[in-house]
Amino acid sequence: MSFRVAILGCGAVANVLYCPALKDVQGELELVGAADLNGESAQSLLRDFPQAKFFCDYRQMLVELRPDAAIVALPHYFHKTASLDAMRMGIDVFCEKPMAMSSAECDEIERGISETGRVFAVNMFRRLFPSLKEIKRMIDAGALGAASAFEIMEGGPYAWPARSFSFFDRKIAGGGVLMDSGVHTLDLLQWLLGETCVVEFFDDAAADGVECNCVANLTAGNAPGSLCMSRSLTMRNIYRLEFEHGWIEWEHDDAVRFRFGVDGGKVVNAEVQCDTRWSSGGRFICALAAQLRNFARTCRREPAEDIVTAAEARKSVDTIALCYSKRRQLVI
Amino acid sequence: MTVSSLDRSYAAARPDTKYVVLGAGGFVGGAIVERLVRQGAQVSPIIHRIGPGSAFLARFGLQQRIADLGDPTTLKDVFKGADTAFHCVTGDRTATVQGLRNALVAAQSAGVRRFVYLSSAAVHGFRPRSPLVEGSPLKPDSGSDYARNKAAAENIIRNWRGGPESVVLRPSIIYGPRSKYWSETPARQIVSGTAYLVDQGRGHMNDIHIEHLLDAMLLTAHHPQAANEVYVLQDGFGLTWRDYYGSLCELLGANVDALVNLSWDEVLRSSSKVRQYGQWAKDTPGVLRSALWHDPLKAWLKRAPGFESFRQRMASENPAVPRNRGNNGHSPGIIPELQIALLHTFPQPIADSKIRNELGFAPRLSFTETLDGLRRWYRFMGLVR
Repeated sequence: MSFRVAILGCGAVANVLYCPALKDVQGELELVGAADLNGESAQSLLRDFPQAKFFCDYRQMLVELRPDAAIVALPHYFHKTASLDAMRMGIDVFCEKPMAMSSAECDEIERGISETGRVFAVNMFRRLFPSLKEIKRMIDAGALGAASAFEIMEGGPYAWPARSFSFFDRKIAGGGVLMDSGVHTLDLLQWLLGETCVVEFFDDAAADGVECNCVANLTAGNAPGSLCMSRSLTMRNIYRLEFEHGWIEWEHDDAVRFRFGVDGGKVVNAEVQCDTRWSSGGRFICALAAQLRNFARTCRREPAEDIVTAAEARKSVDTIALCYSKRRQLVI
Repeated sequence: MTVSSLDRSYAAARPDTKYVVLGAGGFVGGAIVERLVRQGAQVSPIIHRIGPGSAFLARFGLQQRIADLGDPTTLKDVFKGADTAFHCVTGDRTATVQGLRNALVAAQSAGVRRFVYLSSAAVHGFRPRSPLVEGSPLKPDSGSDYARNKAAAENIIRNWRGGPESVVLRPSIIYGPRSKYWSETPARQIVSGTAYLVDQGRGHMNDIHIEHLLDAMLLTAHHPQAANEVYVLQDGFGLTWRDYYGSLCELLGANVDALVNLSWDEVLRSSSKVRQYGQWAKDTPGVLRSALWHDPLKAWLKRAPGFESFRQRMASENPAVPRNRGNNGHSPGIIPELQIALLHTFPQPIADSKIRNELGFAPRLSFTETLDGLRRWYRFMGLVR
């Protein structure tokens, strides 16, 4: 019997990522319902999944359909409430990043998980990239020694097919570029190098606005480094990690290739052998589909690769909260 | 003086005034919104769609509004309560020309006092015969849709009657942080070894730094004498393109002498557009150019089967510069843009004495100070360490 899921929110992320990923895992996961305040947003999703039933109210959907799991793909503001609502109905949750908008909201979700015993996972798709799994293995094996520094520059002109201004509203999004794409970056950083601490943070928001550009000086593990992010400028989009005995570097969205050097030796261009879809635009779908499979198997108590749990996913939210608390004006 | 001290500008925004910025998602539109917000004014940014401009504007926590200037129904209430409008829209002919007419109608019915229209010195064409002044003839190059549309839009303003008061500004090369065409692209080309100058870049650049343009926009928005006037604008640094590229090279750790220099002959032989449509000469008769560059003909050619692959093949087989020439000795080959070549050889300066003498406009940053801002911006993007 397939694993029955319902999606909460039919905006851009549901249409661009979840719809094709759910098609990828059809047979294993079955979309039974979709909820959104705006019926028009759900049209394309419902065309692809004609068996799914549409609701304007996600609570009504969860009560009526009783799915095995809920995919929370709502604006950030609703992540906490919708996740808790689902778990309290005995439904497992796969939540789009960020897990929540603040550390306090993460606390509430973790309490909800303890109370209900439900499975809760967060979409951190880059962890599934074959190149990053390999990089993680190299680091964990101590192949290059301890990390000594890092530099991350990431961003480009905002191109997400957003249908509303929710991403640009602090009350709904919780922040700007750092909360939106930075949550992935910080998750990777702490996953690869260890606990992150915030030294300084600069952004260009004014008054009630959200940042478009930011610079965070951090430590990860014991290594100092910087993170520069933008939603309007074409950045170098490079991750570079330095170690006692070498370095590793990769393009931010490359799922199969990376470069490294050992003890001042030649640059090694590495490419992980895997399905060609990982080298194409479909890599994000592959990664999301893999996570959904892992999530479903975890919910069914079957063997599965690790999911990104609340305890893991909240680390990047906590770091973001610290960044915002130390905010100073960025002038560029 | 630093860029941040511009907040004390003589061309300050008025806190009791509501400003509407059309085209707020663009480079100049976003910049004027930022200036207005920083000076405590009320501002309503109007954008065409959610995009990178929205992310920039979101910094200020303003309510952004989407409007399609080609559709008058979307302009309803856009100007409600506004005193001043800045029109910074570029786009196709419908957006630029009909869109302007629609905006003027809506602004008039809302009682907007002044309407500042951002035109371009491109309306005078690439080969003016004397220094450009406000009264220079409008002779947009027939190959430039942008220039022709701007000139057509200016005609609408010239013939407009019954308010709002209008101001037409004609800047040329707007540079500074966030200038994609004139500050980002050249820097990326310098870094990648694909930058080039035509005829040693001896042409007049006629630059205006973005902060100076904002000064001029605010000055003309408020100055009584600016009503229904036209102004050409420039910094007055007297830069040639080589001067400018030389300064960018210094910022980026490159050597301007290592940039590829193309002669007109090399441009003519290898410009992808020239290769498509036939020999272009600086003095090609206008009628012939019109025929070669006529929109329907271009559109037809683009649709022709195999044309695009033919164009790309011709361009890649015949780059202007051999692969072993250029910065660092490994240029990937340069395919010059005809428009860039025309600008690098621009023969005349802009003479902007009208705005200086009548309104007291004076750029307040030195060229060196403007480079400081560019340095910071390049560093943030990772172009310079």
